Amino acid sequence: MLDQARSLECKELLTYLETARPCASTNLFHVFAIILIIQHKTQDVTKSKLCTEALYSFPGLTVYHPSLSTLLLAFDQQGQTSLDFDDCLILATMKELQTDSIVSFDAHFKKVKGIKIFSPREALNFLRTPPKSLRTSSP
Amino acid sequence: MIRGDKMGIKIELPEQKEQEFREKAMRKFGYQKGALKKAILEAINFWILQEKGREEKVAHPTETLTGVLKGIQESSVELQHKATKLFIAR
Repeated sequence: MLDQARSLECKELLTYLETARPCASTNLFHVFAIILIIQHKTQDVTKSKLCTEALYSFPGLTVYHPSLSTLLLAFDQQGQTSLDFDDCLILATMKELQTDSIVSFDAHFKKVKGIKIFSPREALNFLRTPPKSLRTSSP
Repeated sequence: MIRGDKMGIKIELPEQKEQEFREKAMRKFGYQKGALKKAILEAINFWILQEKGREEKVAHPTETLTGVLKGIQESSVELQHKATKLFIAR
């Protein structure tokens, strides 16, 4: 999106998610954040709409809509860490989705114990060749 | 089971999930006949609502998103935190 130094690996991961089965999730909060930034930077409503539709068009990506329990969990996380609410909402979403892995460039998550941070390239490698213990026999 | 224009769906759930669902349904709709049905209908309606609009998919979403915010100097992490501030400021 930003066409910055690591855009190629981001693009490769997204391209993988275009044909993958559901294997990754993002949070509705991130969709809102992207819409706000696009509108703030470009003032282009059509672009915002198209990008929102695009984000919901990856078969491999599910947009998680936080529930009340996720929000309450985020507050609990905030009490236990020194992170901002938006980061805690991500941690709460991970708990709800029962995953300990996140794809992020955000150094704040390095302080959080018990989670694995992947770069887009590492995530792509993991998804392409998951450890044997996680492979399923179903097609 | 088919009754009039109503169709039945049979599903199997992990035991823990089934118990959790049953308990929450009873709490919300009362400890009576029909509580589970109401909860299932609510869940299905909610899911359909969430999925609405997804049918009109963008054919190549990665291409659509590529370069939309080209030329911006801030990183994705900075922008995400900026979005929070923008949200608060509105």
